[in-house]
Amino acid sequence: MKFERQLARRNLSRRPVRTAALILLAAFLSFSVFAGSMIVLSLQNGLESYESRLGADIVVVPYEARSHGTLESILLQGIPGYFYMDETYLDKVRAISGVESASPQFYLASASAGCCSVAVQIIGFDPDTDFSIQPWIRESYSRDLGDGDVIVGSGITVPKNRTLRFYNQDCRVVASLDQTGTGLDTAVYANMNTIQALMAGSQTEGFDYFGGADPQRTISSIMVKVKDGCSIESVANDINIHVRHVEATQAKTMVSSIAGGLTNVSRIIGGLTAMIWALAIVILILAFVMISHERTREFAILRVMGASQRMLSGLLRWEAAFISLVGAVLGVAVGALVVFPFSSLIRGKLDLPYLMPGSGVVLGLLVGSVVLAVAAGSLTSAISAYRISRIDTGLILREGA
Amino acid sequence: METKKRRAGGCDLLLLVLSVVELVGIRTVFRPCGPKEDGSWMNCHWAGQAVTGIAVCLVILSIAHLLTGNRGMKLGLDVGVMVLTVFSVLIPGRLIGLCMMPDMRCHQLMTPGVTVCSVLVLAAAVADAALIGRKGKRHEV
Repeated sequence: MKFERQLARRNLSRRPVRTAALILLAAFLSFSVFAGSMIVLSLQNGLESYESRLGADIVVVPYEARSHGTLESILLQGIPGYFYMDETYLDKVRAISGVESASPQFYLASASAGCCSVAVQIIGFDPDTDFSIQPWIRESYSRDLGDGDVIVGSGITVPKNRTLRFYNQDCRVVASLDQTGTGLDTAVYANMNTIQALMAGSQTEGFDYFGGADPQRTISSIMVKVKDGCSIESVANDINIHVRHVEATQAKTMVSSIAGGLTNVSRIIGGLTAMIWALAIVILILAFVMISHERTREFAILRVMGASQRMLSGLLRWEAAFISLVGAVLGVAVGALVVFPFSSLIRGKLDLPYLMPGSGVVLGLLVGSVVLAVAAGSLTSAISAYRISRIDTGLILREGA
Repeated sequence: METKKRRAGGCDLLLLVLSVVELVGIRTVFRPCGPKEDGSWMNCHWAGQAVTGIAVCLVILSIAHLLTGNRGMKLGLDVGVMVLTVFSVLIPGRLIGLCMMPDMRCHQLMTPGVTVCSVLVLAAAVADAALIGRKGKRHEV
């Protein structure tokens, strides 16, 4: 075994161009598996995170906001937006049968948050009635959010003095939330008093977001939780029928529209990966068959020198294993260099929730991709190993003489 | 560790090419965010300037690496390159802060681009140092 291994290593180092070409092919194989799987897993992870962060059964927004897809832009892409309705809609929604709780949210787009920033989305919530934001705020911050305090998404870099300035008012950053892979990562969360102070500040600064309405009596959306046993669909329909000028959408519907896009992207990536795999495996099989054909005389001489047929097959298998291992490690390393540092760019280009899986999954994927590429490489060499195990030594040497 | 005339090896050329890619990249594809509306620069601009300086040093060290035949000097240059690449990875976002939002150019392109280039230069320098070490051992034998 040791002899076969050494001979295989020497064979490979004596043919650097051939070895490099085969390593490149194996690297391509493991790169496609690793990078493709990482992107698909991150998309699935992002969708799960988005689903859990919505936290409500039904989202009610002014009709114009729904028709222009503003809410999705805010939640998915983090594009700051705002839309308002009168707070009396809150009582109307609460009066619908089947509604267990309804909580208002306020959306305000900041003009700027100081140096090196673009506008951010400020989301206000009512701590007394909120059930959708506070549960995951508590994962990072256990105390009550005071007036003038804000919590920022993971994507916002907190200044050293932990203060962000919006509309000429300083807000103290008390915590940063975990990454969600959605537009919520670039949002800022505040309680009702803070957001109303900021709304008033925006008016003082000359920004007319409210179209003449009283900012103290306006809200942006209503998050609705449906009573156990009631149909979410029928409650949403009831709201749409009985409350005019608003649109109630099931959270499930919002998620499923994204899931559709995600399935398409996953299918394309999966298809490309499968194509690359099929192509690389066929090329590897052909390469090994051609190489073994070219080396028939070399194998015949080894047989004459006393090498068994099993030893020759072993030699080929070791060569394939070395090539696949080096190529797989190289491919996975290049994949990691693309997928990890450029994750923010990939997320931006895909326009879908994108959240990297945990380190355990990543490690499993790294090892899995290497193992898969080595197994594929070893399997492709099996055909040539079988071929050379059947060579007629005497005939080949006589033909060559 | 004798001085010996020899042809430029694969590692010499690789180091030079990757250093030039980093230098050209930070001025073009991986350049930081542009100036603000008032014409002033954001933090990431200074991070970009610092990385440019490091990339220039990397190119100079790589040229020296290519021209010298002395193994000891090559090894020393490799160590210098390794230290510089570590700094070039640390500068954007760690030693010099970047912009506030993650969807800005400095986060999406500059940091990953500089990181990838620096890691590749580092890997080439480590590989070259390892080859020099192996050759040195063979000569001693």
